[in-house]
Amino acid sequence: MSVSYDEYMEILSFLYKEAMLLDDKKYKEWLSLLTEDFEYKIFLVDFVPYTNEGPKLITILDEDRKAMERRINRLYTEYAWAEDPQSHTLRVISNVMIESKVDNVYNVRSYLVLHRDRGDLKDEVFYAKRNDKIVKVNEGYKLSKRDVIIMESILRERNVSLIL
Amino acid sequence: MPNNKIEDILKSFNPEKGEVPFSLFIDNEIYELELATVFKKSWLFLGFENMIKYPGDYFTTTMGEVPVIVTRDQNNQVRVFLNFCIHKGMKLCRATQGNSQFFRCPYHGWTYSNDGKLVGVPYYEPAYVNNLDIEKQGLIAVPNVKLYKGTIWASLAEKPKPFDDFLGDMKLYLDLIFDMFEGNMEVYGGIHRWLLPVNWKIPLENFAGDAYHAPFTHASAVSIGLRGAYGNNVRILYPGEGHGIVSVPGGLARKAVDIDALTPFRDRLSKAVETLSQKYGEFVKNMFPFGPLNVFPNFSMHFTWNYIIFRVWHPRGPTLTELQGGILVFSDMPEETKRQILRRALHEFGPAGVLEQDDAEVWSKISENGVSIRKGSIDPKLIYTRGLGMDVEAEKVLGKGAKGRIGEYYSDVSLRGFYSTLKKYLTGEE
Ligand code: FES
Ligand SMILES: [Fe+2]
Repeated sequence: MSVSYDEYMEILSFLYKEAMLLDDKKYKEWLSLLTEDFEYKIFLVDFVPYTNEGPKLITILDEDRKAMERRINRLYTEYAWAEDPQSHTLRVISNVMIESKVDNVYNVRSYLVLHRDRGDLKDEVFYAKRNDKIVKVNEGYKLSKRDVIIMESILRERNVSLIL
Repeated sequence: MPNNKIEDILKSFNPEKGEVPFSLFIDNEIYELELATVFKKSWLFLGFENMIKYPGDYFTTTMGEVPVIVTRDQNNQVRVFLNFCIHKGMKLCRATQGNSQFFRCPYHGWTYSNDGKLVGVPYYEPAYVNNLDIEKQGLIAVPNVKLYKGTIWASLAEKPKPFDDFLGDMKLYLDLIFDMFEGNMEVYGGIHRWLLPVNWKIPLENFAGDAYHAPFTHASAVSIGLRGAYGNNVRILYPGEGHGIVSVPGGLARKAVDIDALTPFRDRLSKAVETLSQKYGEFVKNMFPFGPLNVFPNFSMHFTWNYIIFRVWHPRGPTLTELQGGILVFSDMPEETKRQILRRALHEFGPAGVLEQDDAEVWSKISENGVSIRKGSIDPKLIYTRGLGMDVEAEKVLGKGAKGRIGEYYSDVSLRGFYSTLKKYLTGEE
């Protein structure tokens, strides 16, 4: 596999732009970055004895594109209480590594630190590892798969109403 | 004068009249009293036998705040021990689950076999030879363990009330679910753990009887087509002994957003309605599957056409709860069906579920607000009078074989029952 500096920069900008759209609450624009067969999973890590296979993952979400659209549409109803009044969020994307490239498909790892403010004194920061599948298409790049591992065995945030 | 404070609170706690003081969800004195009474004396749900299928399998959990190890020993016997090294108190087992024939303490290396016996003490000779009778020592066993149709229960009391009396008429309704599995009950996808900033009793109300919140808290589910309209005819069943069931006529979720892969699950349910109504009575046809329920004090399930989820609300402080949740499937269903059930359940329930994320927002703000209100020594009585005096024998509404009392239109009947039972524990009557 060889990935050029330009390609790396393009992937990086794609991830930054995507994070920015979510922080700016431009959810419909964000949706347009997903492929039709988009898959999205979120895991917690169980606290178990060490094995060579890595941590045992507990699934807390497993969505397809249709479910994702429902999730986004919900935010525009008058009843999405978890995000209304709106959270203030700030996403830091880091440790971006292109792990492999086959044809026009990139497997990209990144870290996410996401701060959320909900108008109270509860500090909420999500620390997560992400494995993305990003596809190069004519108009640029699209996200076709995202696995998010929240690095907590007991989730300490009040909910996961945000997209990670 | 903390004792006077508890007395004052209990004086204004009249669940049969629908009066529940707000302090019950905020104050530390009440919380500690609950741990010392409800969680010490009642039977508590620990998990499913399927979680420890093979000898050596174990998982750790808590009874109230008390940490325990639940394990299947080499002779296939299910055992429950305090997760506590008798030498100097180290937490013996730190993982949430695993398989091991022995538990080794990381502090000084005392080792116990999984039937609780102390089998190894490093450097035993010569200093312990006359000072420690190894044969008589072992893990502290939880005195009462009950296996019931694939579920594991225990009580920390020396002499708890008989398990059947504790369940009362709730047994009938649990039997409907557990019998349906015919021994094929499987916890699928693991147990997720989630720390909620709220008193343990508030979230369980949503399962035990507060279906009244759904049309408003979960109004978005209708807007996005996940649910049909919420009916005005939701019934609340009170089987007694503090338990509660929400019965949703026809099963609200059935028509909304169908997923083909769920068909094998729904077929099982339809078939079960037939066999179970023959065994238990006509009422089964009028309430199956029945929706959310709670077994006193802190074990909830939600039984729908799309999934069966369970929740244990572990108390962690007056305004803190550790939710342990998961889903149940038939172990002999196709893998694809199991995954679709998991997906559908997590789309709605769990920390990222489009329904439960809104519940969690409500719960967290009740606590935040509540702590501030209580700082002003203000203790409003919350209102649990919905349908007071209007409930009737369940058999009259659901048909032959049903047990308990039933209230229509989102009645608070089962919540009044839950709090009446809780009060008995707090005042020492139970
Ligand atoms: S505390 Fe466990 S061996 Fe000493
Ligand atoms: Fe709810």
